[in-house]
Amino acid sequence: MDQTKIAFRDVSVRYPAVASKPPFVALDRVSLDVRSGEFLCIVGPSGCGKTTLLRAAAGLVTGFDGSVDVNGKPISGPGGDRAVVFQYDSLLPWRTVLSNVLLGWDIRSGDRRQAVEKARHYLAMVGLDAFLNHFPHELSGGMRQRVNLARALAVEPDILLMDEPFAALDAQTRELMQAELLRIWGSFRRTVLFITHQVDEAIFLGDRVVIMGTRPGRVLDVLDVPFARPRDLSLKSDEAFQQMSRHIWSKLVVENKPLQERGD
Amino acid sequence: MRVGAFGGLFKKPAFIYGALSVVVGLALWEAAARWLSNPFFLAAPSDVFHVLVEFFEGPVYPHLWISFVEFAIGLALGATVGVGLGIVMALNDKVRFVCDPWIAALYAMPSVALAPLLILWFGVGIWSKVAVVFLVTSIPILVNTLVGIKGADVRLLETARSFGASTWQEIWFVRLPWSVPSLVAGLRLAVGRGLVGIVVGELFGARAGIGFLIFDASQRFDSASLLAAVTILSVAGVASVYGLEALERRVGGWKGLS
Repeated sequence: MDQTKIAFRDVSVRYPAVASKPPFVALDRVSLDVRSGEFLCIVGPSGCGKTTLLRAAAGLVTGFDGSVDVNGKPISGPGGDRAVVFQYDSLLPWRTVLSNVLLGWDIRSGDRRQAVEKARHYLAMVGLDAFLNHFPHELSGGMRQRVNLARALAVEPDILLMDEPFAALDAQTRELMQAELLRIWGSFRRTVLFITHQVDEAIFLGDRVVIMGTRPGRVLDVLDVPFARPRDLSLKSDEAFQQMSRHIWSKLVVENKPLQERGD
Repeated sequence: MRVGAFGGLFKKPAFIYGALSVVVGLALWEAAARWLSNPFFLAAPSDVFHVLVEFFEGPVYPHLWISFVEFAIGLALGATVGVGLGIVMALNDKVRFVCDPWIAALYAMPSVALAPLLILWFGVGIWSKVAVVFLVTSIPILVNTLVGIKGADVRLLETARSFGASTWQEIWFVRLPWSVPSLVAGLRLAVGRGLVGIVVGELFGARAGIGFLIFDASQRFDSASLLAAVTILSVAGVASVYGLEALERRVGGWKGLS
């Protein structure tokens, strides 16, 4: 269980000065282990480099210092062992729901019939089996994010990388999706790296919570989440939960001045 | 919300007023041709209709065929080169920088003006007209391909890349489908210009074709035959525009516009 799945070693990402912008250090020597099978949440304010860290693990960032190892091997780009669920609406608008979920398979060119079966299976898992032939513009934001999730699950990755997947949803839908995600995760138990700027989301979902600070982007602290699974949304009103939330919150506020303006 | 076939079309104000306008216009034209002018300057619609009937009893088909072949080959070549070079220019800055001034010049000018030169080079057979159609259709298709391919949503591209898509897979799965509406718009422009190209090319030098019919009629001061040939062109033009508009609606469906 404590086997390391993703190892970030001294990962630094610097953007040189361009025109009017000063040089910017997105990540400063970040080292972090993501354990096999765990649900790891990274929480931090905008600009702390948490998304950059995830993109590095996805193989979408090139030209950083340090290394990112997956299963003990340094990564050299995107790979079949990882799949990303993006924050933004990343469905292909000209494809139906089913066809969108098949995208990963189309790119990796597997057996089509088997792929369709898998796609249907995961769409059923996210509760969208009645919408196979709908187009994205016919779905609500929450449903589109479910399709995104199903698309990532359909390639059956070893690691699921989730970049603030619920950030664009309204508060109510977000809560429902959090509960849904835990239910789904309970049935496959892959390693999840989950980025969020919402403290309660991080605690509710995660086995551990990584707190990141900004300027430069770095890891401030890593906390174990003590709450037993399965969890349901009532956990959020639990005193211990709120205490942990306040604790993380205070760290973020002290360390990250810009957060005070966010009003989150 | 697709309107079912022609259901209700005949009751629409647009159709009623449009049809009325055509009928009244033709009547006025007929009257003017009969009482104000003479067939030398302006043939009456009824005369044009008679010529059209004669045309379609046989003599027009070889001309139609020649023009169609010139148009089809020219457009096929123009679309192939336009789309191909458009993709390369969209993905390679250096190629784009090299080609840009030429494309801009060709796009800005009425390139049919080069038709006489092309006839000089390729002779009066079909290939000079193919060259004219190629020239006038490839440019708008190229420009629209370039805009579509380059404009593809970076977030969708990144999504494909996260699944390990290669450059070609990015083009195939994201950039090309993204560009389809823009491609169809380019095709519509190209078809319009191609029809002009055919006529202008055939006017300058040809042995057959619809443009040649126009030229021949004008040499004989036969305004009825001239207008009959023009009518065929205008029907072809209207038909292709309608066809492409239907195609545009179809491929634009994913935008939720249909």
